[in-house]
Amino acid sequence: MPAKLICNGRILIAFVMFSIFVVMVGIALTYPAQARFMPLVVGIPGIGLTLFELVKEVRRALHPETESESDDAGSSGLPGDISRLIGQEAPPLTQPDAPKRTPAEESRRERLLLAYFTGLIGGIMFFGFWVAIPVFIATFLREREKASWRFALLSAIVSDALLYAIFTRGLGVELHTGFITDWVMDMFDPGY
Amino acid sequence: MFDIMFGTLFQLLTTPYLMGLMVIAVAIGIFVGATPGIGGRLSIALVIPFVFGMDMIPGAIFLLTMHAVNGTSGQISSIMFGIPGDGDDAATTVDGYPLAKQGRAGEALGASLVASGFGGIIGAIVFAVLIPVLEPIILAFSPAEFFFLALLGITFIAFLAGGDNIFKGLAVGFFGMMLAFVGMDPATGIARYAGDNLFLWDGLSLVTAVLALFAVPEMIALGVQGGAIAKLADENVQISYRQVFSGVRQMLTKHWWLALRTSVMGAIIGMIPGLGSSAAAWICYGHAVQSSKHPEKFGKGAIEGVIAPETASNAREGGALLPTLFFGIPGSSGMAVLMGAFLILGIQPGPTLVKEHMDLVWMLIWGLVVGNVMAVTFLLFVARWVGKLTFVNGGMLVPFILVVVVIGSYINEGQWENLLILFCLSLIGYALLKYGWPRAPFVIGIVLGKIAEESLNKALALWGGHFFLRPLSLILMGMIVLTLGYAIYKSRAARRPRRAGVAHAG
Repeated sequence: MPAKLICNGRILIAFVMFSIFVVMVGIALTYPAQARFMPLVVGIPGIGLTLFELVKEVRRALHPETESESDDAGSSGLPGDISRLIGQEAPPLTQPDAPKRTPAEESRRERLLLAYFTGLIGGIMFFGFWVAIPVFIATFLREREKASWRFALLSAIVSDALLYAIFTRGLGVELHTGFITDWVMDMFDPGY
Repeated sequence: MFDIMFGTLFQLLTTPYLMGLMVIAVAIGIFVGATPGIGGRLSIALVIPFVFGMDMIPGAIFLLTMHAVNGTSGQISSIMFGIPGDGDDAATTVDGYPLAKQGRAGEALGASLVASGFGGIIGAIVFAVLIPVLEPIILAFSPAEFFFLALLGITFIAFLAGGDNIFKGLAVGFFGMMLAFVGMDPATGIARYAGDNLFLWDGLSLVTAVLALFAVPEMIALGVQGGAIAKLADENVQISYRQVFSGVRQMLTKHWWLALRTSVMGAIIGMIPGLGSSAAAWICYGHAVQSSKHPEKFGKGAIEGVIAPETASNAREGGALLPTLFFGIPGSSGMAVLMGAFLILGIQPGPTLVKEHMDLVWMLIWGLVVGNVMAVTFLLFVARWVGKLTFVNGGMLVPFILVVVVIGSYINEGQWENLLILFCLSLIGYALLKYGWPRAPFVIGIVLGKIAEESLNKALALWGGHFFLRPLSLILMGMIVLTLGYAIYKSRAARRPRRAGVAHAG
């Protein structure tokens, strides 16, 4: 049962939020009175709220039959149900033709997307914008979206060209060149 | 006042730079409104990097115009293919799609597009009419009231989440506030939550936080979902310009009174934070049904059924701008992101705006009017092609949008460390999205956190611990308690039948 609770995403996010508040309140306690006042005024109720959510999620996981899943459901969007729409944001867009996937497949796709995003951030930090962005775009389009090599490579080249035209030439921004790229360039050209 | 009112209109219409920016904003707004997966909030977050460094007025006009028109193009796919471009457009589908199936798509499009523009203009007029009424109230607010307004803002926006989610909304709002405290404390000079990281001493980058909480999670979700909204175009949908202009004529001659009523209703609904974006469209749809002599026609292809929700949706934007600009309380989550963007441009909501920047307020009102006219005029001619954007594969857009997000986060301060913050906050943002924690309160929290702290310090310095006994402060405290009380009541009331159902089943 504990393993089941730890792997529950709802519990995990409630716990992460709770931990963030606890850590931030803990740090705030080390500040002088005036500096810690607002963090404590906001952080202590934050601990209470997230603890409440955490307990609620644990109870929901332990007693799924009594705690309904409909807490987070958006509104139905039906014309006869206007009263329920008060206080609701627009219901999420549903894609009628979206393929039905198993939870395992959804989870795999999610991990893959997160890995691409991690790769993009890591790539930019270590290799810089000029290298990471075209590689990311070409790989994503080719491997993930099954685009043709021609389209993927063309998109990568056009993206780099636009990056240069808009940001370097147009806005005069100097983009991060990457730690490894800098190191390599420095080896070949010490004045780089 | 008339000097500023008409002077700003003249300035807007005669400045090629501003008009050029509006044309670009209208084009982008139409594109993102019709393309699956890119909503109003996301589009604002995405263009923040491009307006960074712009002057206040051009930047604000660009953002507001884009935000105002991207709802207009979403209705096209609702009518042509029965696929709402956004949740707000669902009400339009009820009668719009049956009209299309009867071969009257052009008529429905003509009426709904003009209704959208009409609603947008009336919403701006309602806002303008209320300025002289609200001006003395805004100027009567002191730091004590602004502290409570900040808290009220978070409470209201948490209320947007609805039902049981109010506690999650409040927690996320408080999380945003805690992040607003990162950096040098202006009162003591202590670097809070920054350690030795110099780049954090000026505070957390608002652009990075907004992009991380809104743009990246949406893109990951879109990538996971994959595919286009629809795969096959309905070849039966034929649109002729004759039909389109017949719809325009019907709206302007036969149904103008309904359009006016629903526009005013939409604008008023927009002013009330927490009513939510779908509510305006559905409430006005309901009003159209109730006030019609032929309610039986609704749902089967009544032209009033597309006019009412579209006027309301667009008029809502003008209404929602009022609490956003004057009280710092966004009327919707889209406005919350817009407010964050305004702050980045140096626009401080509240009395400063009324005292020093009324020209900007009028410029924004005219921006809404002119932007809507431009969007409608353009769409009346190209609607049939814009509808095809529904078939764009959302997944193909993901890498390009992620690249824009990452660049936006970096160029804001030119610090690579912001990429790490973007990454960490994006993971939190995605988890919040996935597990149903509302994210709009975060923007309010991070935006209002600093204002709340400064206001509280000033109020304490002026009145000591008794600052909350001022009459206006008491009213605001009462409103906070009422909002929370109502939300708790609503949540308990919603849970009771479910529990009863479970007990009955058991």
